[in-house]
Amino acid sequence: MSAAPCAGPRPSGAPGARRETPATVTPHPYAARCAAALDEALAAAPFYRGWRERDPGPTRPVAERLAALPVLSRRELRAHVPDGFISGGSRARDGFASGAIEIVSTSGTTSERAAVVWHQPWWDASLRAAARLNPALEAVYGGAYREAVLTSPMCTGNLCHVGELPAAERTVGNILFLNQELDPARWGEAGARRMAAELAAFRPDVLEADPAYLAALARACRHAGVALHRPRCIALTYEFPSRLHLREIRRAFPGVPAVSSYGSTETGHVFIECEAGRLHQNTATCHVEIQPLRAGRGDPRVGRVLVTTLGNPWFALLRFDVGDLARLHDGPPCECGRGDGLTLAAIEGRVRDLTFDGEGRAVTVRQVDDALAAIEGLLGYRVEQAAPTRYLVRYVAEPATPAGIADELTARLRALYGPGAEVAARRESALAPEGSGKYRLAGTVGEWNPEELFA
Amino acid sequence: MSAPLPEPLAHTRADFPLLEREIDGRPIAYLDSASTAPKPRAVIEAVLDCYRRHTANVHRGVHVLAEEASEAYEAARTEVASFLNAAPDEIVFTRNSTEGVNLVAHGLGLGGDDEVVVTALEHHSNFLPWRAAARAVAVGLGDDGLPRYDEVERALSPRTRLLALAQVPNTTGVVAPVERWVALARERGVPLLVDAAQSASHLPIDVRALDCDFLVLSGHKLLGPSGIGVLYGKRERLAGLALYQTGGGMVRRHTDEGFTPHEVPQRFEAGTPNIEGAVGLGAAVGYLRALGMEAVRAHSLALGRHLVEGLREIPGARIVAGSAPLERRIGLAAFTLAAPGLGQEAIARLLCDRYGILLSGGYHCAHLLHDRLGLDGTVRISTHVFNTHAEIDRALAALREISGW
Repeated sequence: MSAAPCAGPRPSGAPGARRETPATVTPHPYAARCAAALDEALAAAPFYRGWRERDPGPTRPVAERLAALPVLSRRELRAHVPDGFISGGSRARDGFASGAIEIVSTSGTTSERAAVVWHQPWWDASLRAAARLNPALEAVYGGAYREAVLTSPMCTGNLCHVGELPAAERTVGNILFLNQELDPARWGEAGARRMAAELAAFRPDVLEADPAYLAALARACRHAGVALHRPRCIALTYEFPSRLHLREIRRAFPGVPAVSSYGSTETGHVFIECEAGRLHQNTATCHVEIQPLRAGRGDPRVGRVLVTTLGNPWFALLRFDVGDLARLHDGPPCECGRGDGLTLAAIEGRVRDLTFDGEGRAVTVRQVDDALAAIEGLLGYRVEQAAPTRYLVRYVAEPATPAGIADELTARLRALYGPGAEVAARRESALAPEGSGKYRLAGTVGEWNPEELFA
Repeated sequence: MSAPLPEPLAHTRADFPLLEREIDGRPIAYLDSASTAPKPRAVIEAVLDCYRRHTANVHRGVHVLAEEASEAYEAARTEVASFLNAAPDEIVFTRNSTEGVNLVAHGLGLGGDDEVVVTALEHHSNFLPWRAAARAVAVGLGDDGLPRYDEVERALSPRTRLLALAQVPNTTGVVAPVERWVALARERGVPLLVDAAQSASHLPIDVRALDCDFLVLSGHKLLGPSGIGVLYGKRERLAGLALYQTGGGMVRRHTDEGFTPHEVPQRFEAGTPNIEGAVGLGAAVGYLRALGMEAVRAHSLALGRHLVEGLREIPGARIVAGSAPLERRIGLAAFTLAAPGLGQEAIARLLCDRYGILLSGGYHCAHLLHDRLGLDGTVRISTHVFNTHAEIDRALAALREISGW
């Protein structure tokens, strides 16, 4: 269960990650570390100069202080990276010169793309701390490991027109980058066999994958009769995993734990799925607020994810809007026993992928997925809202799927969006990814202002 | 404070709706016309008018709309011919420059032993078709990437079937000594093809004066639509080319015994052509002709000089073909910027995201050039008639800021 704009090692230039001396995460009490991060950013990072007057001051609880501040958007990152978010902005030059930092770009489409100051030791610390939230991840990331990455090449830093590289050139240190195609539909059987063979030869301990890409590989290998190497665990990240994807992945990797890792290039690893299926906050390197939907605009347990980074000396983010929605866990404490920070029931998908029912209430990608993913023979879908009560679902289905699948899709969507919903279904031979390489599962046609949605 | 530089074509900015775009509330500076140029209203309206009023096929129908469509299509051919000082029947509409080069490469019936002389920094579109059909022999590059054009004579052999070069390469912005290559080609009795994909937007082109045998250009860089291009060829040269594609529209008569193709140019325009693209291209070159190509050249050279002089003052900037004299440069330069922590692609992205400056970063379809110079990509700034010195200054200021991080 993840919906990272682009998580995972993100070097610039050729695929690969540089490993440096690990950063130390200071073991202060959580609230004190949050307050320290806030004080440091407001005092020394140039971008936050204009925010200082909104801060009620260090005598107030840190949650109250944060809540009084604006939300940080990617638009502001684009305008002020790198110096705006580095304490004493002029230090950026020293950071670049010493190799402590570099600039990497996120993979997103227009509104989501951003340049980020990348400090590898902090990222590594974030990964190690996050891995401790799940025993399968901890077993791998706690020691030496080999990792294969399967995602859009846009998430692994490719200069244009470099063409296909051999596996040796896609292997950087302990990491093998499997894919170079912008659309998995272009893999064909040969591409799937090539990746399966590379996995068998490389024998990674962990496979970090975009669930849509891994499901596509699993399906292609199933049809080709090719078995896939089973790593010790799978970390699912990069985009929202449909239950359609999870079903295919579990079928291809029986017995292999598939763990959702939620984060972003900007924020590091933020939430990790525990063995009980809930997501726990990585309190070592981030503070999280879930800003709820306004009353009447959707489920009040759902809100947008705002992240404040902790302990990153080179990139101080306060209340950064990742662009995703999450649902808070509101039941008894999680049976895994972890209680630090927030516990989520689920990641709900991107804000920009919201659709709306006839009364204007937000419908998240997860709600759409819950409605559709169980349909037999369905391989993929995208719901497009063209007007307040008009929806089109484009879908891809197994060849032998009966024509009645269209009726089932429309019936389920009418139940989701309300009795006044006009729903049409259109079968497609394939669904194309966005320019970023990610698959949009739902969305509205035209512009709308997401700021109106949140309390 | 220095006096503002003259901007004689600044009035054209109002003709380009795209320039009204903003990114993150910041007006864009569009400096990527070497990839694809924005379109003036005249082009947009011409294309829309095709759809609104003249939708019909050309050279086939007998009704009024078909006649109007044919007239508009052929008028565009005439406009392009005038732009190049060619005759209309020497103008073949293609998809782009690439298709024009491929048409010639195929039509000459080249074989594996035949040689085509090129430069090592030709765009892939003017290199790979020769390499696929014959043997491409490239003259060398100087240390800064400027081709050693003078070495062309040494590259010629009895097997040479053609010379092909860009009038202005898309990675240097430097006007090539085409006349010298033409003279050699005449001497050896082999044809010469000019790739004018970049130059056509910046320089007056007179194919008669140039005396080239073939010339190709693309509409999308020339303020016109995508998917339309031109192959110019001397009549006798075009007539000597083998058929490239067959089908409807290119045949005069088809019987049980065989078929007779049309004369050029129609013999090379099989199938329904890109009618609205051609009409849009006609409007684009009409727009440029109205501005005056001498004025366009002066503007481009002024911007090129300003750009290169500015880049030379930025610490860590290395200009491709930086040794070329300023008077031979159009408003285009590719360069690297040594900025710790930043690759060339990251610099190009930052210029967009942080400064609203749109340009190219990468290999610009010239892998050999980058390989030989040991460059992991370059950043490229390229101008057109609507760009101003102030926009160049905006880009230079951003680059200076980045180089100082």
